[in-house]
Amino acid sequence: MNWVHPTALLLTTFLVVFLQGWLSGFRGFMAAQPDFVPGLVVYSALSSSLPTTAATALLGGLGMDALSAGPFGLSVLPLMSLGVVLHLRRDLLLRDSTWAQAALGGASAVAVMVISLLLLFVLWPLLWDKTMAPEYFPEGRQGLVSLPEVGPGVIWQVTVVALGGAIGTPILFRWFGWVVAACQYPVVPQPTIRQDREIKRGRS
Amino acid sequence: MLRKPHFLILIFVAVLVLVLLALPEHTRSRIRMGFASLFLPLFGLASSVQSAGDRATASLIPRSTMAARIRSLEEENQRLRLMVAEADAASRESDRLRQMLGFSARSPWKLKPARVIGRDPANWWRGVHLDVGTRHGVTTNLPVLTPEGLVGRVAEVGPWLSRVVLVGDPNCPVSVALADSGNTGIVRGTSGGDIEGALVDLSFLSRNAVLNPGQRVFTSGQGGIYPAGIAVGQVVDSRVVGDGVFLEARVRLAVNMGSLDLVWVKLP
Repeated sequence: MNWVHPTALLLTTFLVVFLQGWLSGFRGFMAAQPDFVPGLVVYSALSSSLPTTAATALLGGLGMDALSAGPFGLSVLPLMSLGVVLHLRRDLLLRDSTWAQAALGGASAVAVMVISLLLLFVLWPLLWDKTMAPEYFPEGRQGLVSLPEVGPGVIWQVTVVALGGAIGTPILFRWFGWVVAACQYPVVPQPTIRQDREIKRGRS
Repeated sequence: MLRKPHFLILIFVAVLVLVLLALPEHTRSRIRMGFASLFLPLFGLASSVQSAGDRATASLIPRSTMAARIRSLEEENQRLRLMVAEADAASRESDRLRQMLGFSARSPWKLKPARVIGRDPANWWRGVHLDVGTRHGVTTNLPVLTPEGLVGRVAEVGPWLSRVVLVGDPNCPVSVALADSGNTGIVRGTSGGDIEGALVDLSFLSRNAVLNPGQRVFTSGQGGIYPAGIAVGQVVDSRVVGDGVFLEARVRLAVNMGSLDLVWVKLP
């Protein structure tokens, strides 16, 4: 059942994006929001094909941008880059080690956050629609008229995002392990010596 | 190594993203709200579950506590009715005086209640989603408020939901006036170093403006979107900026943006 894995991955991505938009308690408590979508891309890149990873990055990025004020589509680029790099290097990564999963999750979440912010600053001249932002009428400006303010609070946000990614990614690996195990036929271990092919010696 | 079909997938995704980013703002906004609408069934389901949980919790509250709460609310209701009657009388008097002076009559506000169903998942934007859209008469740039004060404005709207940009977001400047002195300035962005987002910067104040901690800040009505007189917050402290040309103040917002639930959209 090859479709189980990609379907579970995409449904989980959709659900994770929704939960990040719906649950505000964590942000109220920690003053920052962890991002679990990079963790999903990490899992996808290490455990499935490149098209599935691309679909996860696309759905996760567009979903996050749909619920956010940021430019629609911008989050796809860092997620996609992360997925491609990890997919190409997946033979070198210890995907079964919990510590490796946590380290990859934390680093990926921070990398996606920083690259998104950099892209926003670099692409700003392209994204800013000046015709909709008259200087003399500040309240009436439409769309994105100002870049996010990067202050000392970003250090705390990066810390929370890194911790969230480090804790969330191993949980996602366990979750998908359970889903795949529940939806697929159990693998019967094959003995190295098959009884029916054994040459029987002696008289029968 | 990447195979040819993989290259094609990557090129497709890259082109798609570039096309999305290059689209005009209003087209991009429509696509975004269409995509956000896909989450509406989940938001509806979550709201239903939350309501059921609230009802279950309410059923566990003792009868005596509920009776005390009802008595307290009845007292508050009577007090508010008296205040409304007093405000009505003042409003009638104001209308009469405006008529005598030849000013146009002030029309009463039309308010639409809305529930906050989601928040902006990104860390550097401040916004919420409401369960009302164009089908409910909501359009872009309508003010959103609570009884405590100003919340923000409707930035994007779809048929069934809308996105509100909150006061404190860099994309939600508000023209404000100080109580007592009447000096005007612009509230824009969250004050640097404030992680909670409860403090915002009030800039472009005149060097001679009278600023005192605790002084109340209201919308000035000069910016074109927010009517005058909506509470924005209170002055915390001030400093001189721009080589002594301007004053800048930190303002604590009147509304706790972290616990928004029921808000009001002011319809045109």
